[in-house]
Amino acid sequence: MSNVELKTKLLEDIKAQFGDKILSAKINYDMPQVEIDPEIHGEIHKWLKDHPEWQFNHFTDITGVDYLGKRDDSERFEVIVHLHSLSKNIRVRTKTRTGGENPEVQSLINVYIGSTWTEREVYDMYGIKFTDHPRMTRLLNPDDFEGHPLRKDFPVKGLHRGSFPKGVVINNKRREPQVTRQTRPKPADQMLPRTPVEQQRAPLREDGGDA
Amino acid sequence: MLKHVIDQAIVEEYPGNKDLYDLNLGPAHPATHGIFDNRCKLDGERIIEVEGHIGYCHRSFEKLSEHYTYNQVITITDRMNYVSSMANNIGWVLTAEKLLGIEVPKLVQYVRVIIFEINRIIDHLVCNGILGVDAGAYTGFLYFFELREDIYQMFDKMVGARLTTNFGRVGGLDRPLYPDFQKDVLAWLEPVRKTMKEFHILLTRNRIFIDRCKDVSAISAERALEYGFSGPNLRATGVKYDLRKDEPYSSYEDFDFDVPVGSTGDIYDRYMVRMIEMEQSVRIIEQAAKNLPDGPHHADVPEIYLPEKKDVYSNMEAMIRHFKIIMHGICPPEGEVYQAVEAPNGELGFYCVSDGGPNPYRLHFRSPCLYFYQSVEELLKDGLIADAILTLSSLNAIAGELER
Repeated sequence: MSNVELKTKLLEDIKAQFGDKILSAKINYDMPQVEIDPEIHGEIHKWLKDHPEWQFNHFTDITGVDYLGKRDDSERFEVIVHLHSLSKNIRVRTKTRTGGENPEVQSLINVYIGSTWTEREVYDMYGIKFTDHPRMTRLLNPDDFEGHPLRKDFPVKGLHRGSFPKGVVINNKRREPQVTRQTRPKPADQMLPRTPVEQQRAPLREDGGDA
Repeated sequence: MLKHVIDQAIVEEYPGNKDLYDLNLGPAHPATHGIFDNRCKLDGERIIEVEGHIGYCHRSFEKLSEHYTYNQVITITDRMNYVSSMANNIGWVLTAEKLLGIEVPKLVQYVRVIIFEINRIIDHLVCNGILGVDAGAYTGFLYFFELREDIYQMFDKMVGARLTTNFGRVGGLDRPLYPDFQKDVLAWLEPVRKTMKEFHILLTRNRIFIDRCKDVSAISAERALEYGFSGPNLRATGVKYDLRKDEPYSSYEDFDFDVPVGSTGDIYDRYMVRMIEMEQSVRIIEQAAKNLPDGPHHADVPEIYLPEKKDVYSNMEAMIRHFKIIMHGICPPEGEVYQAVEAPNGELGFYCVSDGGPNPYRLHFRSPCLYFYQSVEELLKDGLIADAILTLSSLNAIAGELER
């Protein structure tokens, strides 16, 4: 069976199993791709993994995309999962739309243990919560980080001028730094004169000091 | 070995993790080789529980690349796996070419294969050398670093940089090959073979090394696949999965080479798979360098590849194209692709969504490290601290790639 026939058969098998829960199925740049109803997000991956013929047992990738302004706000996010079948040597991509105030998707942690950290990364970057995940906390950013950086409405420069706020985080609580003679911000009149362009800018920090 | 003795000695359980000693292995520990934080709970020397914390090296590459043009993203990929930066460059360039539908000349494909395999060798050299250092054998590391220095000098001649190489452009190579390229590559292979032989004598049959590595932090094939392992770490468990064979890219189907697999997935298997892979890489480089075809160093795509500088000053069309590419960028058609390459650490995937603009709408790097590094919470559990150090270095997680 040639490669294209195999991919077409896979898509037909998925459509026959899940019927109208499959919103679309096509081959996109040599990759079989299905858009699914959020209800069957957990079910379809379990079916793909346990299917005796297809055996998508190699967990490849999970990520998200934000289509802000291109789609309705209730389905602005897409959770994208790539799976690979070693026995047939083909891949499949599934897409699940979510959105609204509290975007939620079922967790795959009972199917693929590899989604332990990667779902946390998607939560960190997009704010999409994965239900039934035992540790839905941020992965890459600090715990007290504001916002979700890969959303399209998050500015590249960040929400704060300068770097992260000063201080140390112990047990998820920010301790303010001790003000000593060396670290006390200088009064404005003792600071070096700024260039005309710099004078127009707002101060880098609330206390008037430099970053 | 020692682990079983201790397992027998400790029979009681620990309700509520009382009386356990907290130890932070990292984030700035010299033996973690990167900025990883592993918060361990210890009973004596035995690790009862580990919690991995990452993100100390996160530089938000995915956000940045949404604001870069397709050729500017190459500079980002350098800084992901900085031990084998050119492999990442090639992976991204292949992704962009797939999106644009460009077929590059045979010479470019062969040069990419040579560079890719050289990077695989130097990546495995560092990994296995450091594994020796962590086991207490410093000598092999220095043998290997001499080779690495030679190849960095060749990179310097080729692209003008040693570490952040920025190699290749969408549509071909960034410049023609320098005249002695073929000779330099072939001359480098002889010392590689010699050093590999010496390294085998030093470590492979070394009793102490085998005792430290055998049956430590083993993982089964099913579990590894569920985690999303790839590359040498997956092949050590016995799964014959190599993208160079399964989904050949860049003319890998032209070359004759074998894919080594292990059986138990322990540290020694990972070490041996890497050692044999280096020998196979030498074979591939030799075949590619001896049969290097003639031809142009880029595809004939004037609206994507920058024209030569002397044409820009003398030719009207070339100047217009130069202006268009610099000012407007490359605009691929709407669509999304996933391209994976067999990077030294495993499957390095690029998922790129294009909306028809000059920047990728969304670019996701599927880093192999993230998928196998999340298994440390399972692998280190119930082991000794000394084994934990070896496990971390045998997995070869690179912080820059893990956190991007």
